Amino acid sequence: MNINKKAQEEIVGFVMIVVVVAVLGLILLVISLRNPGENQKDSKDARLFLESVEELTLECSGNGGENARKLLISCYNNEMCESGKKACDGLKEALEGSIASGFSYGPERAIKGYEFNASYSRNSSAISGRREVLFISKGNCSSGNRRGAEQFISASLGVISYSLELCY
Amino acid sequence: MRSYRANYSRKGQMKIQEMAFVLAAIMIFFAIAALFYINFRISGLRQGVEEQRSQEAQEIVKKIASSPELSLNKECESCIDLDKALVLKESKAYKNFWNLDYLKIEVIYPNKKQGECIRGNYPDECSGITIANKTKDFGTAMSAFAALCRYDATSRTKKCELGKIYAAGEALK
Repeated sequence: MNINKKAQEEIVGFVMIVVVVAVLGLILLVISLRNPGENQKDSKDARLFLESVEELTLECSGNGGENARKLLISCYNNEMCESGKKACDGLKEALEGSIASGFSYGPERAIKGYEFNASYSRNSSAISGRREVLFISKGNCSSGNRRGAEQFISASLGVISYSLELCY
Repeated sequence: MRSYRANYSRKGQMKIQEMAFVLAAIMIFFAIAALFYINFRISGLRQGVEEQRSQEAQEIVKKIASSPELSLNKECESCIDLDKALVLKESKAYKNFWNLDYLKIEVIYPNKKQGECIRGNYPDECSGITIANKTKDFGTAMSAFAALCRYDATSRTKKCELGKIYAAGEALK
């Protein structure tokens, strides 16, 4: 086959330019997508929700009720309400109801689902040695695009951190 | 007569043309890629600006909630005193106090019977207290979560519910 060698060289050069440009483009795309904080942002709405919900009076002790913050500590201690209900169950029920009232979520909504996670650790920054206190997950949280907030309360020489993550 | 016309090779001209086309193609490719990237960044920025505005408005709403006229006490910044709000609603002096077109406090959890609170149905048979409502055309009201607390005469303790404070007006735009 009589193929012009110079033409071949030019095609190879052009392909190399295209490949270099494509690789540069891909690197830029990956950098912009991997930008920290892009996938998981702080949500002011979630923060205000957590601040407000911790004051919520829940019927548990029988003596006019106690706030959700105290009930979370009772849940960590595996305590029971005077009604015989577990503190964790009472808290879970109230949180599910209040989150459903505060944020409309579903497959056709902007918010696809949420995750509420409360865990105990010796100090707030320790990731290892955390003990799960309460975990609620509703809807679809598989996309990875989340916004949320975290709050802390002190309990038994440690800290209970609880967070609400809204999945978009 | 001697000719001074340059004797360019036809092949060389073709090569220069080819190079020019390749350069033009690369420039067009870069321009399209840059346009896509700039468009992507601008839409992100716009979203960021909108979020920033919404957060600022929420901050103002929160500030209204924590004003001494509405707040429960200094220990709980996100708590609104519902009893105070009911009194404020009845007071004409407070209609223009925050210079807002619309200001409403609503209980969202536990679910309550929908309706405006008056002394006759407060606190169990109603869900909202409208402090100001100057015009029907106030646009979209900004909202923020708040704990709505009141004195419960039965248990003689403070009872808090989850609610939202809605506000609209020039100050929030």
